[in-house]
Amino acid sequence: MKSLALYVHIPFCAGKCYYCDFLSFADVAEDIRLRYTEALLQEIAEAAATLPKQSAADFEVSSIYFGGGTPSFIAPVQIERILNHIRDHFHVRTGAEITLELNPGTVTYDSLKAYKSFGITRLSIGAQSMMNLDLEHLGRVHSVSDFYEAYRNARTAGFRNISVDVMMGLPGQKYADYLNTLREIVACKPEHISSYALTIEEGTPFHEIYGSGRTARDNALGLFRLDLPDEEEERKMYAETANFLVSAGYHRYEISNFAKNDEERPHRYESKHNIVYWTRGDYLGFGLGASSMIENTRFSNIRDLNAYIEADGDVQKIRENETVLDIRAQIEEFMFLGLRMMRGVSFARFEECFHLSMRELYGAVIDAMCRDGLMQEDEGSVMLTARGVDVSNTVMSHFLLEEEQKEEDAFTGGDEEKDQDREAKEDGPPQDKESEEKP
Amino acid sequence: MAQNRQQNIRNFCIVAHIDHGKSTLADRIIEKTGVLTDREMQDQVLDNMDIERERGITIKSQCVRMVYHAQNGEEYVLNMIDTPGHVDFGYEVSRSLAACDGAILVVDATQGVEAQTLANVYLALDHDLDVFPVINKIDLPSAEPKKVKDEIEEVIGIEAQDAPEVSAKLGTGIEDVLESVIRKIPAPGGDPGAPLKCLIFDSTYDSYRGVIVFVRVRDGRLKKGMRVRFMQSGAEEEVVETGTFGPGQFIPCEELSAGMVGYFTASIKNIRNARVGDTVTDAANPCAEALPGYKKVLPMVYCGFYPADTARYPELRDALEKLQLNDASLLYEPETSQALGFGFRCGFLGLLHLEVIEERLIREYSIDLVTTAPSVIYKVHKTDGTCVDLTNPTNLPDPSEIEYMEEPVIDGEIMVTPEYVGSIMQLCQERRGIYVSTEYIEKNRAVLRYKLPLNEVIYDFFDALKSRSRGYASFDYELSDYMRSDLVKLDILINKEQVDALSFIVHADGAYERGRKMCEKLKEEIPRHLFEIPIQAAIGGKVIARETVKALRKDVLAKCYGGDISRKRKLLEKQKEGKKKMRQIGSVEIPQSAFLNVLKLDDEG
Repeated sequence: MKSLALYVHIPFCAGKCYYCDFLSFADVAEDIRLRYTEALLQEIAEAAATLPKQSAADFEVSSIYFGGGTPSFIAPVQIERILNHIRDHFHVRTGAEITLELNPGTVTYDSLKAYKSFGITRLSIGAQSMMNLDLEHLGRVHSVSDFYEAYRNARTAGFRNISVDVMMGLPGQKYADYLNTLREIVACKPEHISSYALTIEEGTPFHEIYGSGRTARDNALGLFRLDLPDEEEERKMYAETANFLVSAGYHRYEISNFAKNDEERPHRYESKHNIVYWTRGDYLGFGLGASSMIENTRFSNIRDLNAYIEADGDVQKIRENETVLDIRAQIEEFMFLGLRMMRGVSFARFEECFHLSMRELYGAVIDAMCRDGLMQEDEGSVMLTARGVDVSNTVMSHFLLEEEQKEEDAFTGGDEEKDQDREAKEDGPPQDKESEEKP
Repeated sequence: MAQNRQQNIRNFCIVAHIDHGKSTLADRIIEKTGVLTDREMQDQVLDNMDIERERGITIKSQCVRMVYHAQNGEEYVLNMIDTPGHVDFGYEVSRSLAACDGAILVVDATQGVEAQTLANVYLALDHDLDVFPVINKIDLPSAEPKKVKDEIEEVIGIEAQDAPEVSAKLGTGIEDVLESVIRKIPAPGGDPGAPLKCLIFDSTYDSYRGVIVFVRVRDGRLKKGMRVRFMQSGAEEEVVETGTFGPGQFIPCEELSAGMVGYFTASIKNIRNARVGDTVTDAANPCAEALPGYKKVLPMVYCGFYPADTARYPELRDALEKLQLNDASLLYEPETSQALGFGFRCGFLGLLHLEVIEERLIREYSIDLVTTAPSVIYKVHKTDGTCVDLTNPTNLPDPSEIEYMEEPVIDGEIMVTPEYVGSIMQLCQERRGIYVSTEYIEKNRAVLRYKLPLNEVIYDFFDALKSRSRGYASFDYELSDYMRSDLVKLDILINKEQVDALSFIVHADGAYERGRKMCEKLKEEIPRHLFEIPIQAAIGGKVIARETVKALRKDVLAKCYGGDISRKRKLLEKQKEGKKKMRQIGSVEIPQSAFLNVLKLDDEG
């Protein structure tokens, strides 16, 4: 039985935040949203029937993640329908992690109670900041008190695994402000905290404002614009996030993710679903623009809402960008995704997957990175150091292979055994694997 | 009959100041004689190198054969050779002129006589060509053909009152020009019965046919199957094909006889055997003596070309060899740099020439280049009494061995309207110019003469001149002599390591300023690394300027949302790709563009 993670995309929001470049819409009529759900249900059924080579019965769903957009923006009953539909077509493991993203201001005690009743096990709340001014600058639709209300209701409704998203490097944000946000969030004692630095993405209102620095035109027009924290300030926030959260009883398990420590099960509160991405487990994405990887083939769904609804679940029409990963791409991904995890990548695991020695292939790079203090070796694994995390793109780019290396015969051997590799890998969820590796 | 044919041949070229419409006129003439259909007609037919079209300049001479039915009822063969206008390409002009019997002088009806108008006319007269003027751009409201004609007679001293008035742009007056060609340019001389004697005025390389030699036949006949001798190199080859020039194509013909302009191929393997300027004769019946060749053009600016990908050194060598084939003024010899590996020190006529060669290597041969700072030739007088020519700053002897140094000085002539005289004089002073004279050739046209050190001119003088005169100044120069000068070698150290490719010679007074600017520019060009990088300018070990590239603090992608890793991969690949365009100097990676960009100190583009 192979593990499978499922992602469900709900591309609707109450309002579009100024920094957001995710695939979501704020102005879609309710009937369209309903038709979307119908199409989604169709896709789930078809996807289950057309899982490559295997049938859905060979897979066991270890986690489900409702993301968006704002999944809490649509009626809870729709989420229930989707979830039940998934259960009808896939084998969902008992105790599977089922996460729902929500935004404060879009939930009530009743809706949270409903989520709990039909099996959502984990909530991810987009708090972003604990200062109303920041929230306003970001174009968030909620206030700080909305967050508190949602959080309290979630606890009352019985949720025992809650993640809170927080952002740093916001317009006008000072180090002290950010620290205050962190303090307030930690005081709520969520089981998990995701902390992201604001990035200015193309096509967002923020890009127009901050994309190219303050211009003469801005000045001439007297456009009001807050400055983004400078690099030093932002790095200070970043460094303090780790310090502060560690002292507050959390551990960082991934570049941007922190989980509450648990004496008996150290990995208890880590997001099992997201770890599948970093460890290259199989996952299927449903809904608009969702990404999938099954058996080393990556594909994604189309991003046009009308076309998606039109396709009515026909996966032939929905899926695009199918890429069969060759051994080179698999190795590269193994490295640059794996290195996002603080535990790093294991030499033994690499050899198990690719029948190649990581030391032989990457020894020189690893040595150089370790010498420069960006990586370190520990108990049969290599991982980023704190400094390495800061410049992780630079570090990871060294693990892309040259074209010539791709041609080398050494790489062609792995293909046949690939299936067995996968079998071996999928014996348990990735995080269980990890506990075995780390005594 | 043959004599008749020779009587009806006209070999001519067009000379002009840059931008006076020479290439456009050439296009119209081609159009008029019907060599091309309208559909085939593209603007600036003769400028067929990409760079020429883009920059709107002519670099290479181009040749085209046309048939014209004149008003007197006879049919004439016109061989037109387009010539470059820019001062850097004077040698090309010279070569083309040797193949002609006359020249059309194009003068802009709004601009009148300019520096290069004069230079080119004198060049044409030196070659004993008959020159007649054509007044172009009469369609413009500010055109003053009458005034310009007077000016031509006054300044140049050639008859201009009956000069055709044309608008090459609109195509008016072209017939008039063609009739003038027939009337005013003599038929070629030469004896078709005499032993073969042709001048090689250009050549090109074709991967199928080998070297294609462009010739003007002075005497005799050149035929397929004939065994010819290159008089200078002594090589002998059998002619495979002879022909004439269509626009952008070669049209084979039976033979080329005295007076004709055309090409031949001879499956020439070694391109050095068919040098431009050499005389070709019949091996079986050679002519008594060779034609006088061209004056050898001496490069004035040197720089190093290095392949971005070191493995492509042999390709670079082949490409340079081929470029040299039709660009005799390009010199190159192998050199090595610690920073850049194996490459070539190349000699050019000027900075534009350098840039053109660089671009041709990149575009036509797809070789990415790293270019070092241009340098002139310094004369280093050593304490032991010897004197060496220094073309590469890296080779400067130890200061203790140097008695004194000399640098080349040019006679510069700047033509400008009076309101800019002040700012141009200031510019010349800043560039260590020595004032010679000011002359007003007309009440609104002044000629400033300065003696300027060449190394002050090769950087960005031309750009500065244009910007300080709002584009009105024109500049012409020729090398005059060498002058003793207080010169120092400025070294650039990146992360404490000297980068030989960035060293250059500079006048002591300007060293600090130049060093400071180099450091500032390098700071912009060098991406942040994981560590701090000091950039220093030093003279003989003494640091005179310093900048620091701060260490990279943050380079992290926050989120791979919903398992979408495509962006992450793209970002990493872009980063890796970027690295490939870098040169490793010690532990620092320097973008190749930095090597050229640091030289364009004042050029914000």
